[in-house]
Amino acid sequence: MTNTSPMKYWRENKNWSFLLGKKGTIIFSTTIHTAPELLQTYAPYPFAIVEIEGKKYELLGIPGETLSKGDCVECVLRKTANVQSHEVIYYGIKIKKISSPT
Amino acid sequence: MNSVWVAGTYISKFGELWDTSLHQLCVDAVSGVLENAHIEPKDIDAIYVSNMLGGVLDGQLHLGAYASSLFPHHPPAQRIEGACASGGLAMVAAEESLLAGTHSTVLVLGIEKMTDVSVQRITQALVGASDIEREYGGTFPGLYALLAQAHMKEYHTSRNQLSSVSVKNHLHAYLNPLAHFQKKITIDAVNSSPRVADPLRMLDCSPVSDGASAVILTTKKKDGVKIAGFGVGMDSLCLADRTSLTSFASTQKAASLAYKKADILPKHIQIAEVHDCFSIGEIFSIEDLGFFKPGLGGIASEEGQTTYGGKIVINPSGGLKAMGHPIGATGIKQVAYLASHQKELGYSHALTHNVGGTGATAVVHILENI
Amino acid sequence: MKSTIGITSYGAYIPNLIIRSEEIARAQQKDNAGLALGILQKTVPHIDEDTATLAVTAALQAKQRSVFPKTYETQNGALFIGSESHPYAVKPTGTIVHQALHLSPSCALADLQFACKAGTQGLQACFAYVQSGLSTYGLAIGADTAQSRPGDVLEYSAGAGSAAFFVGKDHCVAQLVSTHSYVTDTPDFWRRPHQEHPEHAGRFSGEPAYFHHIKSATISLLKKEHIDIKKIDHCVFHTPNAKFPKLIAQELGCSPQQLQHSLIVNRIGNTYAAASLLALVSVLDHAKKGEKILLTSYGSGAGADSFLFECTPELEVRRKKWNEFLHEQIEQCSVITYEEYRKNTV
Repeated sequence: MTNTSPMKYWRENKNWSFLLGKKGTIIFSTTIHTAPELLQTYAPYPFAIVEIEGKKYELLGIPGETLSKGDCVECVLRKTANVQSHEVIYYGIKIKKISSPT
Repeated sequence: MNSVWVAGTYISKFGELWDTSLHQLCVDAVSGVLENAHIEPKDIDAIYVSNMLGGVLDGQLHLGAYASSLFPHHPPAQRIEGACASGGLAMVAAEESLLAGTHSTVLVLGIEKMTDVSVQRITQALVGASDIEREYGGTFPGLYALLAQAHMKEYHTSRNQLSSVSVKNHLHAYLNPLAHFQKKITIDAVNSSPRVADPLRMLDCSPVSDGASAVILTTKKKDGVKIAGFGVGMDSLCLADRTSLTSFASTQKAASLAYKKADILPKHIQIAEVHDCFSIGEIFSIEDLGFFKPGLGGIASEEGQTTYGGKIVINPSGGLKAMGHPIGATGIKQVAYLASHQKELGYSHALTHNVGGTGATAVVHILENI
Repeated sequence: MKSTIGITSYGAYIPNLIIRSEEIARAQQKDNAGLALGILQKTVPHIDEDTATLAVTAALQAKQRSVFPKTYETQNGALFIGSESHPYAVKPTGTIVHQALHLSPSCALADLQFACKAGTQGLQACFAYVQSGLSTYGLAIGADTAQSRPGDVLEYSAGAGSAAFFVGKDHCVAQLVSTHSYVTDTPDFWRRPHQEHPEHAGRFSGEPAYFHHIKSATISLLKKEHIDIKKIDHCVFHTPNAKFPKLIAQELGCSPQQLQHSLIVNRIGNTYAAASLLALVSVLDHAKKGEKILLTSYGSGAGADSFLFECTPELEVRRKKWNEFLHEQIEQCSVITYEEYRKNTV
């Protein structure tokens, strides 16, 4: 997504409840230091391939958090784009660390 | 049965070409390749333009029509886009038209203007090569960083082995006056360069470059550099849908088709231009193309097996990392470089490998010197 | 007034970042005013959080703790969310929560603003909707990412948090016994449009504002129910700081034990529309069956909502299966610097 729009927001908000609250395990995670325009305020942030209920997803993590292979995470709703003050606010699913493997 | 020959080549300087616009890159490439081929404009039957970001960054679409306008007879023209594999795909479209007998001499032109905007804007634009919905938040280096992690986990590919790829490519580009960088670097310099997406550092990543390249392909020749084989392979756009995170099935499929058409094996390739958009990209490439066994690409790089005096010379131009990566131009530059340096490089068989996205598209060409 | 309705589930969320009052004092280059306010630290939202995301998180916990969470996706509902930091001036925060929780579109919904009492006003409205039969369930949320001007004393207290309550007729963990509201036009706290930070009237916020309204609402409720405040097990009074609730409790004749579980303000700050509701959450996390809870909120100089609840046996039974309690969330907070605090709250 290079630009936000109310219509895109409206299509995407129907997907929130599918993942919200679900737990998963990190397969691989990187920390992104050089971010695209819309995500610049959040850098550095984690980006990971995560397994949730047997399926793989690629999801953003919480700004400043570090995720590693095997970490247990939970899906939460957060702002997902740094929009301008007159634009619709973008929310989406991010993963938040619950615990690391012992 | 027709054969496809390279009749002319052109490569611009790659780099930050501040005084050259997207349009000027096109104009220069057209005149440059026509001059090199000693061909009249009217002899061009069709034009295939490769470009990824003209619409996104400049608002300039319809580049086929723009290129066609430079010719008095306005030959049929189209723009082809497959992210970083745009050049390879444009080559294939041209080749298929020649092999079908639709045309006999065509121009394949790759142009890209990337340096007019900020790093953040480019980072945002390159996200378009991935699945923008299902991989939202994942920058292009970020996605390759995940692949690097997977390869390092499975095969113990090391930080130094990644760095050795960049070091070697800078060494090759040092003697290439068209390269974006003509500067030698060290392993330490790569290892300590700024972090982009862990574990990838700035010197693991190909730069943001402007540039153009062109080839004229024809069925009317009988000797010189021939396109002996080509293949296109695809895989899922999303990394989450892949069966492997340590190899590109798209490259393996494309290579298999190309080797079959050319009736050769990987061991017959003496020199190759491969897709090192990131250092890990070259390691994937040399394994998937069959030059080294899976997992041994890092060691081969570190031990000098991919440079002069080694098993095979990879990226004699300096690759994407050191020669530069104006996206739409790269796939065509690979062919143009090998074709125009055949005498110097002295090969009988050479290979080009061009990848789109994180391996969703791969195009392989095999060049044979007759 | 007897009712057959009550709180059927509840949830709470505070961001896991805190700034200590001595760090604010260091940045302001003044003496630590947090000491006088009794506030040691306050919560700070992450840069990608806002009132909507806080509300969703608390409401999701409340939904997950419900006995039949799926029923909310088909039943007639009512959703009221109170805040003074709604992300939009025009577009409801409530619909974002509604969408995220996949609630039935057959729902009465509105955002409320009445400074720190907007959350409890929403709770009262939900009780009314369910009692009248207009809705099968209600969801009341108080959530805020409170703002304060750099250098102002409010920097010590303006925190972030949210609390959510489902209300209904069945499976109540706390029955509603009675409720009463009291309101005047008293300007002790306000923010004009296009102003970034609120204004407050200093000491005027004391006697004519906070103390008068809380006293008036509470006394009216107690009189209505013919109950002595000493018979109430837990008392919750709005917490702009740690001092005021103790003073009003004393004035009304409460003992310190009655306030024991409600004074979380010293560790999370004043979470504005969530403050009284988070204090209620803290009490419910510790209360026993049969115990009575009095809650009186307060907002904007000008109003107070008072409630009387009685805990049911179901509270202790269901609580055994729950996790991520509010006191655990407070324990898990990480300390940040003033620079990070400003970056996150810009």
